[in-house]
Amino acid sequence: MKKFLSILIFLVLYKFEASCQERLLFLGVTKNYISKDSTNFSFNFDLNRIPGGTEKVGGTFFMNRFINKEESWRMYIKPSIDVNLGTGTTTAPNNVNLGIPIGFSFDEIKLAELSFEASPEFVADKNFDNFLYYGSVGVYFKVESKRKTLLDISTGMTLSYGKRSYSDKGKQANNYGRLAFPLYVKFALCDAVDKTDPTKHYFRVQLTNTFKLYNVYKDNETITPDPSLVYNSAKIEFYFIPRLAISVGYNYGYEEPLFKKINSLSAGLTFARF
Amino acid sequence: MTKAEIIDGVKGVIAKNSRYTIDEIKVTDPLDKFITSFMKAKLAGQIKKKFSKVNTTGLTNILYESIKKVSQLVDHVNN
Repeated sequence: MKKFLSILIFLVLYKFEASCQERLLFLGVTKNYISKDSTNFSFNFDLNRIPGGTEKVGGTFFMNRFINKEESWRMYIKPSIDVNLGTGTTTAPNNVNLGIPIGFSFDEIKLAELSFEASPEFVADKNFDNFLYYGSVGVYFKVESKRKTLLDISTGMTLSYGKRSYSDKGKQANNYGRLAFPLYVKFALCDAVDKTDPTKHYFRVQLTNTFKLYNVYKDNETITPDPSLVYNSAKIEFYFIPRLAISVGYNYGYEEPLFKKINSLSAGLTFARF
Repeated sequence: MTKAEIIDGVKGVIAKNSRYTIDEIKVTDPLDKFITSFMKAKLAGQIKKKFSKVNTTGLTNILYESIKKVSQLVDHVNN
């Protein structure tokens, strides 16, 4: 199982250049505010799945087409992956998320999209020792407003139910269920482009924030003693060339699958693409 | 359809799905000036509504892969 997943992750990452994912690698210094005060050099690999988004990751949309005569409803099927790995245990969520969302999108709202999704999902820690697999259903609403500034907002709700399991056969699996309310905001300004080649951006300031409110109504109580958990990841990036930014970020909260507390401030370089 | 009609049609779809008017959109402009990857799957569907011969799934993937300029989108629709 571990070997299969490792190979799958490698194949996906090998194709990441074809991805529309925006933030790929972070290299910098992270200061932790957990238990003892410590500063670590950190390397984070982050293919960030936007909640309710349908980014392309090393592959294709299996389907994206209209399903009614009025052409107001689209059906899409697209595999998704969200990888957040860091060198420190509390500098990143340290998880791998795989899913195959099947969605229905209503497109008749200007500058916005309303989607209903169902997806089998798999979430593992970076060693694949502790993992979740569940089915999710959810609704998402996203808005994009772009002119001199860019504002993207996506919010929604998902209900999931499945199992928490372990690679250690001595540990007993348990049922897992949670409700999640994600909110994603991206704001970009000062988007300067090269006048000789407008596809080349040479300065941009971008602020992104991902917030998730979890209600874990079923789980191992030693892992989630408190059913209400939040996770927030904020970052501001200054792009002077298209793929390289100086960034400052702050992560706080609890994320699947381990729900270990993260409280860290980071500064460094982000390698990404628009 | 003539090339000019296709250009007007593509610009019209982009204008309808962005905060720009048709007159403000030039074929030499980068596509992400008007719409980012956040909404490209929806844009593919809207292009399909205007140009029925377009394959939505194929266009969606190409929008993410390689189409950077409005002119490239026009060329894809024209082919």
